[in-house]
Amino acid sequence: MHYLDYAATAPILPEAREAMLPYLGDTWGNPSSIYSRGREARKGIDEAREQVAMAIGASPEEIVFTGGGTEADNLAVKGAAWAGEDRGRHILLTKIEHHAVLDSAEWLARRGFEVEYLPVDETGLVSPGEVATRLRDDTILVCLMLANNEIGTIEPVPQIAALCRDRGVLTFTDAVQALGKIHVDVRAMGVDLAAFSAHKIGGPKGAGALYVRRGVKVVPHTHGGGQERGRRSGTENPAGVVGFGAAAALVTGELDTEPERWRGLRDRLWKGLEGAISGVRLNGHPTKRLPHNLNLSVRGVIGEDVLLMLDAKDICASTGSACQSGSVEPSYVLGACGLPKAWAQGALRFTVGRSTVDSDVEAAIEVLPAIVERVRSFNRG
Amino acid sequence: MARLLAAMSGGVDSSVAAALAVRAGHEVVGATLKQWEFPDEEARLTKGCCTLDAVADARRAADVIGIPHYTFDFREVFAREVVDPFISDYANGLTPNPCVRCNELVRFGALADKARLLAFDGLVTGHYARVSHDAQGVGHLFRARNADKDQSYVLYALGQSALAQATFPIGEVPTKDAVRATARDLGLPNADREDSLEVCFVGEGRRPGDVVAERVPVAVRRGPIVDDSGAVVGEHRGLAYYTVGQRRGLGAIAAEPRYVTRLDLERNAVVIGADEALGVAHLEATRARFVSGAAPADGECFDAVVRYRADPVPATYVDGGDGFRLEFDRPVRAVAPGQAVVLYRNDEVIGGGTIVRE
Repeated sequence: MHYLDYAATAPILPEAREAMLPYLGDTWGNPSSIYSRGREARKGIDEAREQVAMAIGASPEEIVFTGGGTEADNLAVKGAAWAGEDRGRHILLTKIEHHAVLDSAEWLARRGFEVEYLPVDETGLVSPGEVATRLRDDTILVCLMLANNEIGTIEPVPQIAALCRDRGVLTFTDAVQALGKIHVDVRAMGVDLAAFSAHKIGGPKGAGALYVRRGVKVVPHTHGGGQERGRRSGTENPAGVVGFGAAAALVTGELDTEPERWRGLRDRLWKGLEGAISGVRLNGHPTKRLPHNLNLSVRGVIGEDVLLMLDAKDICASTGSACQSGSVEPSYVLGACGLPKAWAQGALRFTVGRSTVDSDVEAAIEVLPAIVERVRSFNRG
Repeated sequence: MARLLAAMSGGVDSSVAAALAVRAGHEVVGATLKQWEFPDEEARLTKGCCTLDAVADARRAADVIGIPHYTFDFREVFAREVVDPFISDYANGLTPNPCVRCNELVRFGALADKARLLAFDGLVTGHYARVSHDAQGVGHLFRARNADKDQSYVLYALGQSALAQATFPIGEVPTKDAVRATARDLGLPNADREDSLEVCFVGEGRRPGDVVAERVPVAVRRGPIVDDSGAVVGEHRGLAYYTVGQRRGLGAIAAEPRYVTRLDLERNAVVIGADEALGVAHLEATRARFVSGAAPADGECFDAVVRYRADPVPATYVDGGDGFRLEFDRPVRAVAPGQAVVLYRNDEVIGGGTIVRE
């Protein structure tokens, strides 16, 4: 199998699995219990909190563990909106946010909040000027993902966070796709809230975190035993959290080497495909993009047809985002970037990662041109 | 052994069809078409086909059978080829059969194209019908062994290239109980699921008129019910709620039973009459399709079925260019414009067409 879909999920790191195993075995205590069994579990969570904090440049007490990136997104958007509703009800965000952010904002819009969308250019970039002109006295939150999940565009989050800070507006960045791919330093970026996911970096599914800058209020969604400083009640998931911590420590330790290797693989893939397929274009930004992400459009094909044929060759890639039933829908991100439907429907995303080797990329370069030719000839016929 | 794509709705018939194809030695991949999305959330999750429950049932069935499963988004082609024409037909006072178009243009149209693209040798569906090829390689379409469930009527528009691709394993199974028994033997989770509705996108407890009223409100207006003399005898809810031959829903109008004999689009009127007024001696059909690819000769006699599940009646065929004309030996009741008329010779489907208003 040639796995080229790291933006969907990453294979679990052996180091993360090893770190988790005790918590699926003897260390089964409730972290809130005072006796030794409980204290051992607590220790694991505390250490993981330090690892995640260190990975993103935060303090441990600023980390709220959640059940994943989606929950972190929901807690950030709704929690900050509810906490700020006395000051105002105006929220700014882009149309290329993940659905966890978009749908949370739309849900708020149906309940009396005013949601306004920031335009993006054809590469998916937001301009700080567009934010500046839209900030109002009643603006309480700006949501801007650090890097887009489909096209990999890296947004100017620090500049926009600075604008917001001056106006007393909170900045939330969904950094799920960025962690482990580029340096992420929440303090240097100047954001107030940031969402992360474990499984995108080789940790387990079902674990994530929200960075909440000290002093920032978010209203919790889950009430109960007061865990996670009252922001996310419910007995913690020690195995998941510990796996997340181990993965975060490992991937951030490799940030000076691995991303450069991915960039080489990604660029090789693009050059190979660009040279062999006519009517192909690169989606997203040529330079301001995640080093492991290639998103391209092939004219005259439906991306889903190509994916199915790649699957038959044991090559795993993706188009847009998969909907609940598993069918593939045209990319809303490319639509928001103004890409015509003829291009958007032929979008393919390849994302490489830690286990990707030359032969994975070569396999895609070898089979894709013939697949495209076959799909095109069928569509013509 | 062939590589076959099995269309799986999540129902028991198509699941067993896929399993029987595997049992026959074929390499099978399951596919569920997401064709339609119900407007309200509750219906979108649970009611009938194309719902998340149906997709989940199909996927679970595929898991149990041990085959891969895909979900394809067919909403666009289904809307274009099936739903939109269905609505415009009703809005024009016709009574369409959407399953005919779906089988011709979606199942054995867009899905068959996709199967060819993905290098499958053919399609498996859960239809109650049979296909065989003669020594010359010509495909023939027959009624199912299970006459009660036979669906050959809605397949008349399949031509030779479709039949060359089609496998209908359920058509050989003698009873529905036998289908369910096979499902239970295989451990399929949907073995006892209720049979699906006749029109999948209309929804449970709803009528075609409700769908038309939602989409084209101006086409579904109250109007008069008139008798043969033109006298107004009642009020109707909108033509889309009525079809020729219908008796129910007319209110207590006369002492003897009254039936819809005609839908008068220009006057937005439902015309009713006595039983005798329902009979017609002939009909005209358009969009003729013949399974063999060749039209019959003038004067040939067939058994004609003028609506789904109607009894066959003897008829004489007369060619008419894009369509044909049928002369009946005896008057035939309830011939509704828009419905399919299908010609059989014994159990074999010869072809058919869409009944036009005269």
